[in-house]
Amino acid sequence: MRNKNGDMNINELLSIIIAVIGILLLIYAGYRLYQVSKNDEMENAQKVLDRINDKISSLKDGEQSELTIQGFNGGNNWYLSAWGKSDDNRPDKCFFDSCVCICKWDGTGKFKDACQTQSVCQKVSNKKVYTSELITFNVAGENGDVFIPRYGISLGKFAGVNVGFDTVFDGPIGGFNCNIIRVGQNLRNFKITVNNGEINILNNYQMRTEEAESVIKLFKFLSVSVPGGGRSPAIDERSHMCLAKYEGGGSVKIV
Amino acid sequence: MEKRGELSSAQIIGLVLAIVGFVIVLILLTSLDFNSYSAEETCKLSVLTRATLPSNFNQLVPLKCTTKKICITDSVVGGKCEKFSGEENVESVKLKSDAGESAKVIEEATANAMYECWNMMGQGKLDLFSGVDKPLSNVGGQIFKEFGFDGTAATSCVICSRIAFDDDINKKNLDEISGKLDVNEYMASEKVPDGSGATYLQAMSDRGVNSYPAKFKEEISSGKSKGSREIGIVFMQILTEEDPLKAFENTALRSGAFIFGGSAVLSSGGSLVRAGANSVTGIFTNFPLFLTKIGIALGVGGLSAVETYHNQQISAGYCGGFTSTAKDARHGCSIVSAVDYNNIDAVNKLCGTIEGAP
Repeated sequence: MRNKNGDMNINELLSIIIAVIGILLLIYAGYRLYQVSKNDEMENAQKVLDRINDKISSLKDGEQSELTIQGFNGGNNWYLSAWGKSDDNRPDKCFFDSCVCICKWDGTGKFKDACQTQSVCQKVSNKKVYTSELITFNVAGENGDVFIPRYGISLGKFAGVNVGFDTVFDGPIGGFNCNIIRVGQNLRNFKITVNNGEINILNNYQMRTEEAESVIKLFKFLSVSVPGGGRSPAIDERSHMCLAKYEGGGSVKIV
Repeated sequence: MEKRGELSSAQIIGLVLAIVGFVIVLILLTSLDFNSYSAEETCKLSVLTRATLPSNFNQLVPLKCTTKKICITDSVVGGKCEKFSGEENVESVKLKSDAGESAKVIEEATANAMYECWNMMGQGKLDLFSGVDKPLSNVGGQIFKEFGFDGTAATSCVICSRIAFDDDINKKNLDEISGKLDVNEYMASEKVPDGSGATYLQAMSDRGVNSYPAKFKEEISSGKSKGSREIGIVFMQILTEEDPLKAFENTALRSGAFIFGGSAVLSSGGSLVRAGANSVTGIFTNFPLFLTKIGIALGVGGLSAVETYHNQQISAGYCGGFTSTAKDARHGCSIVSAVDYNNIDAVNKLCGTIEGAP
C-alpha cells in the first residue's frame, strides 16, 4: 500500500529487495549451470594442439615421429590444418609465420575466415610437418614450410578419416613420402600406376574421368581411407585423399 | 502501539529468514565447482545429467570424461611414457621386481581401468548418445557386421583410459612379463576393489557368471592376437533396430565367442531367448555379455610388449533397452573393450564418433 504521498511502505520495499536478490540469485544459478553444461571444445582443441606442438618441439633435426590424435566432444566441426609461410591463404593470425591451426568450421563460409575467428593456432618455425591419411605426421628440421591438410582432419573421430590436403608438393621428403592428390580437379593432374607394390604418380598429367574413377577404385583396394565416412568418393570440396601410406608395402613416389 | 515506519516482529523474522535462505542458496551455488571434483566424479555427473535429461536436450550436455593416462613403468623414481609426452595428470603404475608380480600389476591396472570405465558410463544401461541417430558423419561400427548388426549403425565412443609402457622398461623383462599376462583370468578370479566381494567378471555381468565356459576359453586362446604397447579402454554404444539378442543370435550360436550372462539362454530349439519369458513377446531382452569377438575383429589382444599375444582380450558388454527419460526407450548394446590405441583404422571401425576429452 502506498501512503498518501505515493511513497512505498516497508512491506513493498522488502518485497522489492527480496525480488531483486532472488533475480540475481537466479541469474547466478543460470550462469553456473551454463558453466557446467558448456562445451569445452576450444579447450580440447588447445589440448590437441599442445600435444602436436610438444611433439614437434621434442624432435631433433631429421627425426620423425607419429602421433595419434583423439577426437573430442563436438570435434566433427573442428579441423586440423596448417599453412606454410609462403601460403597466402593462411589466416591473418599466423602473421608472417608458418602455422598449425585447429579451426571450427561448419562447412559454410570460407575456411580461412573461420580459422581467423574460431581457432587455436601455433606458429611453427624451422620445421616441416607432413601428414598421412592416418594423421601421422613427420617433422624434419628444414625450412619453414608446413604441409598439413587444409580442411582435412576432422577431430570428431579418432585421428581423422576425413583427410584433406590442399597443398600438393613434390617428394620425396624427409624419408617419408606423402604425395597428395585432391579428389576433384587436382586429381586430373596426375597419372598413377602401380608396379611391384610401388605407386608411381606422373605429375601434370590430364587424367580422363575413367582413369580418375579407376584411381579411386585403386585407392579403395589399397585401403586408403575414402573421405566422407565410407560414402562414394564423389567430388566434394571437402573430400581429399592422401597417398601417404601404402599399407601393402612399398612407397608412393612421383615419377 | 506500533509507530509508523517501524518494522514489526513478523517482518523482522521474515527478513532474517529470507537473508539466511539466500545465503544458503548462494553457498550451494558457489560450491557447485566442477574443478574441485575428481575427473571420475565429473565424468559420472555429466553421464547422469545427460542420461536423465529429455532426449531432445541431452546432447546439450557434453560428456566431461577426460581420458585417463596410465603409464606402466619399472623406474623407481618418476618413469615416463613417451606416448604421454606433453600430457597432464599421467598416473604411474610401478612394476615389481618379479615378472609374475609385475604381470599382476598390469592385469590389475587393465581390469580396473575397464571396470572404472564400465561404472562411470552407467554400466552400459544409459542412453548416452541419444542425439546421435545415424547422421552421415557418424557412420561407424562396421565391426558389428560380424555380429549381425547393420554395418551403418551409429556408434559413439568415449576413450576412458590409455595404458602405455614406459619406453625405458627393459625389453627382456617386458617379454617375460608379457608371457605371464592374462587379464581375462585375472578378471575371472580377482575381486573388484569396491568391497562388494564380486569378481570383475561377476561385477560386469552378474553373480551367475563364475568362470568362462570351456568353449569361450577355447575362443579366447584360439590363435595368437596382436599385442600393443599402448591400449585404449574404450566405451562404445551402438543403437540397434531390432532386439540385439536377435541380432546376436546367429553369430552367437555359431561361435563360442560369447558369454551371455543373466537370463539369455539357449532354448530347447537352439535359439537364444530370455529365460522364463516368451521370446516373442516383443519385450526387448536385457542381458550382460562377455565377448572375444571385438578383440578378434580388431586384431588386438591387449597390452603386450611382444608382437603376438597369447590370447584375446575379452570385452564386457550390455545389450537391451536403455534407461532413458524418453517415452520409447531405445535399445542397443554397450561394450567396454581394450583396443590398440594407435591402430586408428581399428578404432574408427569401432567408433563412429568420439566424445569426451583427450
